[in-house]
Amino acid sequence: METENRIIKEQTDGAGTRIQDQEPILQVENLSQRFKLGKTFFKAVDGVSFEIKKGEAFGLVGESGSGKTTTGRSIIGLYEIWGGRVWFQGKLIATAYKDEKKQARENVKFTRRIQMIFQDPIASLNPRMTVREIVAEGLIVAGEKDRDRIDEKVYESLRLVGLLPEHAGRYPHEFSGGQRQRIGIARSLIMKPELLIADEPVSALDVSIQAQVVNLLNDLKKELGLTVLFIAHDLSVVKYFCDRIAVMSEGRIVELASSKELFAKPLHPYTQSLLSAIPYPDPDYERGRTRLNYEPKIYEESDEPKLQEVKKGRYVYATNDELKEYKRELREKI
Amino acid sequence: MEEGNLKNSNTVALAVKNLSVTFHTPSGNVQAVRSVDFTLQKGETLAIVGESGSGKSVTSKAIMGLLAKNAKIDSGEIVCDGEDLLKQTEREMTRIRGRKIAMIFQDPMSSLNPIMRVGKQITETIILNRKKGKKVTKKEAKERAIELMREVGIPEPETRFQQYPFELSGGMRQRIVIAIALSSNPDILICDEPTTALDVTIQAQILDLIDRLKSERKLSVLFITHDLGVVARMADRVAVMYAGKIVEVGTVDEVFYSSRHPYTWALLSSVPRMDSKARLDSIVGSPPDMTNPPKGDAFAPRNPYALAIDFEEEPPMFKVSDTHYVASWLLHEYAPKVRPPKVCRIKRKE
Repeated sequence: METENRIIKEQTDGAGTRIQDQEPILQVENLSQRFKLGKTFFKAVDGVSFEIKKGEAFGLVGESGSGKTTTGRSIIGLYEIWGGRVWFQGKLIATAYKDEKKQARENVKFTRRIQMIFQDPIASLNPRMTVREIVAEGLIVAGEKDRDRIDEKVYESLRLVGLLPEHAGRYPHEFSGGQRQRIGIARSLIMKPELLIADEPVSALDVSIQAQVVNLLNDLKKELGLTVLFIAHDLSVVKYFCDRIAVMSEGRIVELASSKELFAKPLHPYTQSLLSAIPYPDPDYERGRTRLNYEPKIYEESDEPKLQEVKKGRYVYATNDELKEYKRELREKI
Repeated sequence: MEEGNLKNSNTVALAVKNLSVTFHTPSGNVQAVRSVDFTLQKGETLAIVGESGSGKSVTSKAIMGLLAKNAKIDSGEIVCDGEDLLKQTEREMTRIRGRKIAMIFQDPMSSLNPIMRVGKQITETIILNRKKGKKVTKKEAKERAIELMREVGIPEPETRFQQYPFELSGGMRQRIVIAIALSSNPDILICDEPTTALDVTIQAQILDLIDRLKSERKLSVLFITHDLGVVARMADRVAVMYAGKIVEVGTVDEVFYSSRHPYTWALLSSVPRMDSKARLDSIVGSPPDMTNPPKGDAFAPRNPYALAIDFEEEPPMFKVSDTHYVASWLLHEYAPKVRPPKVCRIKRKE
């Protein structure tokens, strides 16, 4: 444990976000992921580092192709990672380094405490399984054999998400979109997760149903003390739900801040353009708005930008010169 | 009924009167649209907003004559330029589609032919929709297509002309779809969730484009969406649909700042606001089963303000102002006075 922590300190070089006073539940260090694209490789995630504290809701925001979903899937082990390391509760669960892989494989049992809910509740539920089978599957895989205990836990999970025990015998197609997403959440809760990765959990749902599911996730977070990694493209939902937000673009985190700070004063031009693009349900406000276009900057090789701390707990992807400029901007604001 | 005698008929681009559409399905007859009335004025953007299953897309498809085979139009008229579109033959509708009314859809990938170069897809429409007796050569069609591609903001149109849809980004594909829609100079553009599949920054660009084309070409736009932010951004007037009916219609300001229907209130309160962290008000329950729509006001079972009469009798359209109509018994003179939720009364302060 201690040696592991030392490794992070050496490797991340201040690029991760370390909150001293609280034990981080998840540490992602320099995570990279590449996919084969013909003869070349596509860098889906390019050196992403962050930490999530226990009990925190952490938002990962970006547009399609930004690498946010790949990051989530790499953490839970759906992809073998290309570069970097991932720690969960202080234990190494994924690594790109050969000599550490054996250790990571032994620790894989701890990842049961990480659960995921997916965007499309129709595609992520097997249509030929009953709700009971879907929700219980994780327990059975984990070795639970006592049928009564399985049933009891299934009912408890269903109750937690606002469904009834009698729903257990039905099939997914008998439910509405919002209810299906609740089944997906029940399936993840039965494993008593410490960390929930929610990948666009509401973007396929209608507004009124979105509100139901967001409220449910909020209640569960409070009641069960869940830590949530919330992946989404919709900044307004993320702002509503998350304590801290990392904005991703082209495989990198370009800005990381508390959601309050990020919305009050976005620093990186990409964050600014993203914020300016969200239509707001207020005609008067919409009439007076200007939208900002973002053109990715091309940097000189000598002046490599990286994720740097502008103030305590707030990071932005910048060169040293830009960092000075951002610091000045922040001072002026205050 | 709605604003009928007020407006001079030559300012009306499209009038839908008492439209009802039923789908025949194995599980029963689904009453998707139930006597819908609205007019689209020339040069305005009318947004139809509602959740999935509210009948907003079916309404737009009925206008285009693109309903599925199991759909039946039970009643109604759709009047455009003095003609009832519902009485036209398929051949006549082909003439109207494209030249008078054009439509763009949600997913640009599925509205384009994946194995045909995008340029050809534009020139094909130009040649098919040419004026009677007029010849359009391939060269002329290509010139016109490239001009259109430039108009919808496609960079290097000559290169793009030769590409296949899969080589273009989502935003570029939607621009191609818009170019095809505009190729025969329609008067009316129907946009059915045109940006739902796109990223927010690309959505902003496409919305700007639709707005620009609307004023340059003096289009009348019928904009169908579930996103209230997009409505606020685009619309001059708004019609809110629930369970196959229009429950509230008014100018964008009337609907956002002084709405009177509890369903509109519920919709507005369930959107996460940038400036508030208060608990979201979700609408309890789910939309009614339209094979057997409830008696009275369809929203009553989910409506915290429901009156006894809501479960018995359907509310008529009450007039609030010349432009603002609401179907709710709360507007009856004997109804108790109800204050709408705060979020539906205040403007955002910047």
